[in-house]
Amino acid sequence: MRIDMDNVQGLVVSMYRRPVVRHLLFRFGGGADGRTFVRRLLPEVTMADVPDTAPDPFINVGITYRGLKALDAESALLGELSSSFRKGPEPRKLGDVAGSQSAAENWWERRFRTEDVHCIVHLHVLSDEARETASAHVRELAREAGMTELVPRSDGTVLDARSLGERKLHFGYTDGISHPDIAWDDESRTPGQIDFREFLLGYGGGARSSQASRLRDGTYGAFRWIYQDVATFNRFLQTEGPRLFPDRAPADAEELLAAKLMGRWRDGTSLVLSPDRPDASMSHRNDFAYEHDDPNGHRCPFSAHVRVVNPRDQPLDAVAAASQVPQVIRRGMPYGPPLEGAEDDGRDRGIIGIFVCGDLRHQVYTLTRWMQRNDFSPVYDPNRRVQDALLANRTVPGADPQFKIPGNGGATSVTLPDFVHTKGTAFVLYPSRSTLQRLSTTSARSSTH
Amino acid sequence: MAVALNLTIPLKQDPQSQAALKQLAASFSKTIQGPIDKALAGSRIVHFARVLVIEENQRGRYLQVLTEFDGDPEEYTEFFRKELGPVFGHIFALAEGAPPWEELNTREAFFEYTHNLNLKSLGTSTNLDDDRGYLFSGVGDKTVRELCPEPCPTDIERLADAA
Repeated sequence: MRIDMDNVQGLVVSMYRRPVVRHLLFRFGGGADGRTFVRRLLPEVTMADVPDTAPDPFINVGITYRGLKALDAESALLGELSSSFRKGPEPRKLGDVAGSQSAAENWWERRFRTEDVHCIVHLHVLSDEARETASAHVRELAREAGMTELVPRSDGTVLDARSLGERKLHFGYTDGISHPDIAWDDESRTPGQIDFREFLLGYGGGARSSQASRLRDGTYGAFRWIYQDVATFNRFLQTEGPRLFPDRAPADAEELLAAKLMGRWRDGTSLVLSPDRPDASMSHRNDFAYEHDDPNGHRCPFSAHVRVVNPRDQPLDAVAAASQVPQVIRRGMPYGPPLEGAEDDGRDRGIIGIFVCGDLRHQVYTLTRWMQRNDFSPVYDPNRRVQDALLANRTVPGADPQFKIPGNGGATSVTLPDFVHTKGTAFVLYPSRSTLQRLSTTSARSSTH
Repeated sequence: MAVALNLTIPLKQDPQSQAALKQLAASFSKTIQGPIDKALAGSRIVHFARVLVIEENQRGRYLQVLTEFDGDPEEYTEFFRKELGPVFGHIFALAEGAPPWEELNTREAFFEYTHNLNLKSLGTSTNLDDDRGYLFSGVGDKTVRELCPEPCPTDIERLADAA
C-alpha cells in the first residue's frame, strides 16, 4: 500500500520551510455558501506532492465538527468521525482545568467560543508581503461566501507565527529534533518506522486504524494556542539554577536547570548523551535510550518534558504498555516578540502548535494526561502526583509541583511554577482532496435524494 | 478519583444464546474468574469489579460489568481488550446487536462500542467527568497505587496460598 500524496494535505507529511505563518479562523454562514468557499479554495490547498520549492502561499485547511455540520455534510461522513472529534476538545483532559488561566472560558481571549470556530486556514509563506497577499485572497473568498472571520485578540490582531531563527522557541530550546519516523509506503517500510495508519484515516488493518472510507487520507489535528511566560521562566532559572547547582557558575547553573526541565540542553543535545554540558556535535542526535543509560534519572530526570512525552525504552506500567506510547506529528511555530531577561513586557508570545494524529483520544489525550500526571511508569513514585516539568498546569487538582532532580549525591527538588497556559484549542479534520471535493459538492440534503 | 464503568450489555433471547449464557454463568468461577482476576490485579488501577446477569422471567436480559478504576477510560478499555480479548469475545457473542468480534477487536471500535453501552449513574459527577454521573468514594481520590504501593495478593492468590 502506497499513499497517494496528491490526496493528502501537505502539512501532514511535511514540515514546510517557510518562516511566516498565519492562522485565519472562520465561521461559515449557510451550508451552500460554505461549500462554495471549500470548492473555490480547494484548487489552492497545498497537497503533499507539492515540492518545497513551489511558490507561495502554502495553504491548508482544517474543519471542525461544527464546521462540517454547518456545511451540511452528509450524515454517512459525519458518522465516520470519531466521538472524540465530534465532542470537540475537553479542557479537563488537556489539563486546562476550571479555575486556572488555561480554563476554556478564557480561551480566545473570551472573544468567542471554540464552538464558533468552523474552519482554520493556515497560510505558510516566505515573507510578510506574501502573507498579506494570501490573507487578502482567502478573506475575499470567505467574504463572498458569507463567512465571518473570528479575531481572537482584543487588539484586533490575528494568530501570526514567525520563526525566531535556528528553530528556536521562546524558552530558548531548539525545536524539531525528534519526529516520528513514518513509513508512508508499506513496501519500503523499515524496522522501527511507524505505520502511516496511525495518522491517516480510512485504512483498515492497522491496530488503531479507522475504517472510515469517506475520510480516507484525512487526519485529525489538535490546534493549540499556548502562551509561554518567558519572564517567569527566566526568573526561575536565575533564582533556582545557582541554588540547585552551587558548584557551577551562575550562567552554567541556569543552563543545567533549563536542560533538566526539558531533558535536552537548549542547543538540543540530549542529557543522556551529554549530561554535563551541551555538545554541538551531538545536538541533533536522537539515538539514545533510558533503560540502560539512565535508569535512575541521574542524567535526565523522570519528569523532564522529553522523557514524559517520549519515554522510549523506559518500562511502562501494564495499562500504559497495552496502549503503547502515543506519537503525534508536531507542526508548530513561535509567535510574539522574543523576550530577554526576567521582566515581563506584557506582550503575547508562545507557540501555536498543530498536533496531527489519527486518534485524538489515544494520541493527544493520553499525552496530555501523562503530562498532567506522571503515573504511567514504575519509575514514578506512586505517592506523589508529579507532572511534566515544563508544560503541565500546576492547578490540576492534587498535582505535586515539586520537580525531583535525581543525582549521585541524592535528589534535590524545586517547586515549579506555571510556565505556560492555553489560550485556545480546536479539533479539526484535515480532509483529503477527495473529501474536500465531496464536502464542496454534496450536502446531507442532496445525498438523501 | 476513581471512575465507574457500568457496562450493561443487552443479551440475545434465542434459546441457543440463553443456553450459552447459562453455561457461561455456571463455568464463570472455574474458567473466567481466574484470568479476570489476574488481569485486574496486573492493571494496578482497578479498585473493584464484578460481573452479573439481570434476569427477568428466568431469562437473562442484561449482563453487567461493573468496575471502579483509576485513570483514563480509553487506556483502561484498551488494556482489557488486549488482556481479556477472548473473554470479551465470548461475552459479546451473546450480546444483542453486537458486531462480530473481528470488527470489535480494534482499539477504536471496542472503546466506542463499550462506551456506548456504559450506563450513566444518576446525579452529577464530583470528578468533573460530567458524563458518568455521581460516584461516592470513601477514600477520596486515592488511587490503587497510592492505597497499595506494592501489588496486593488477590483473593484467588490468597486462597491458593492457603491451600
